[in-house]
Amino acid sequence: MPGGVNVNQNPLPQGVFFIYHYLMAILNVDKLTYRLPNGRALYKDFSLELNDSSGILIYGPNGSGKSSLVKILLGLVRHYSGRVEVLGKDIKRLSKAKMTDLRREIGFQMEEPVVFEDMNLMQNISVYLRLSGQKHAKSEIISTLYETGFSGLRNKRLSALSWGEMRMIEILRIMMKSPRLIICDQPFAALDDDTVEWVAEKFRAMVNSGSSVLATFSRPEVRDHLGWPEIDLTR
Amino acid sequence: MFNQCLGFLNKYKWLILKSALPLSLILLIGFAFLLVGYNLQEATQGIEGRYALEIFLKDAALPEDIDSLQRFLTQQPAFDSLEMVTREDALDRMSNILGEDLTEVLGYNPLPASIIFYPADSYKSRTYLEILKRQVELFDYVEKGVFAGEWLEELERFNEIFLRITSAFLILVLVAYILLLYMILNHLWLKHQGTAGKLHLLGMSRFNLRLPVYIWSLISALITSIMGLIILAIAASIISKYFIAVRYFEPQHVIAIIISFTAISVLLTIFKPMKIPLYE
Repeated sequence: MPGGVNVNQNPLPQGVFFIYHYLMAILNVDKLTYRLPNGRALYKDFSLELNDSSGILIYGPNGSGKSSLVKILLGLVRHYSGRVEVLGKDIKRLSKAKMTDLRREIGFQMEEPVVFEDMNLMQNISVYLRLSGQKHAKSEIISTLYETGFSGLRNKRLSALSWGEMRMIEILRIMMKSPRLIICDQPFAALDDDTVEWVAEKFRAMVNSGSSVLATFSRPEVRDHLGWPEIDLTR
Repeated sequence: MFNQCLGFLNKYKWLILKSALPLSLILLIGFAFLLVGYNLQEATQGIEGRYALEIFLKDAALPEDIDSLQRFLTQQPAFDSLEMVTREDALDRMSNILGEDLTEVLGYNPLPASIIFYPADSYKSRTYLEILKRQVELFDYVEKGVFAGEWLEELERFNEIFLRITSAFLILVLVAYILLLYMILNHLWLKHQGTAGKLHLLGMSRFNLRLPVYIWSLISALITSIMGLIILAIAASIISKYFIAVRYFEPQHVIAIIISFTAISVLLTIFKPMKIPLYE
């Protein structure tokens, strides 16, 4: 069961900058305790802080609570104790409608791909961006697909694509959205080595452009691709 | 939002048409009963306005006999008006109804002359006309008196029973319509639920997720009620052409029917719980 962990790639600000640093926290988890319906505690007094332009990896085998943590951070699970602040908002105090609004500001990946299989790639990206309140020109989407090598799939329905391709498309649309916070549940699961490197490269690029990324993983070799600080849920 | 509604309607357009058929058939049954009840009421009211005693005269009746009978009738307290139908008038009327000249077929005019006595409104009853009939039949030159009171009363009784059956049946039709519509909405929502869950997860509000379903239900109800009324209008026009004259609903009735059933459909959709699944 993990204890408190402070993760920040940038040096921790001191003195008067502490308040500024606190306000800049993108994600702040304080003394989170969460029990499964059968009473088993997944975390007890778990703390975590993630600042601007940072990345963090959450490691754990199956059943260690990675997906539950992602669901808590996205406001999908609310019966926990402790304080969880996402983009400066205490999510437990938010109504369901406000939480839905907050999710529009975050880029996230669930355990299963959240894509529209009966729509083509262009429509999927376009709908996703519109839901996020962004309007991108069609030509802009096409040029991104061209740059990333997906232009050949743009008119294909997603039901015709593989799991790995769907995961890559999810990362691609998050990139286009460029949110301040990205939360991904097992983005490297069931991907081949080349695709793992592709995803890691996109994550690095997003952190460099100012986003903060939290990603869970269960394959130990993934940590070498990113080299980010890590929380081990098995400890 | 507009695009989302259009996309949703386009995706489920066949379901609108497939569901419109059974729904409009249910409505058709209800509308047909309404139409029969409406016609029956109209017919009864029309016939009630014609409560009258027709007094057929013997061929031997002289003009002064006719004058004396007319005097007798005009002195009755129930008197409203009289109509003299000569043998030629009767022949013309019968020829018009049959479509051919009776004298050509039979070689003579078999119809007697008659006087039609119309009573005042307060005397339009079988009892009164029966008394008058007995009185006029005492005259030597009167063949017989005929009135429609008996079968009118039967018609009224039948009309009353039919209206009761129609009301009960309409309630059943309405319940069946609502149940079927609810089942179709359930089916639609189950089909849409997966996509709705993803859209909600990615940030679409609950209202925006439900809005296309409301519009779907509005369009479906409009198509359904219009389709039911059109089939009925066709049926009514065919019946009118070959059997009896059918009086169809007035335009304001048609508008009221369409608005009512559309409102039922939309209200049902608004109050239908539509659970949006999330990763909960």
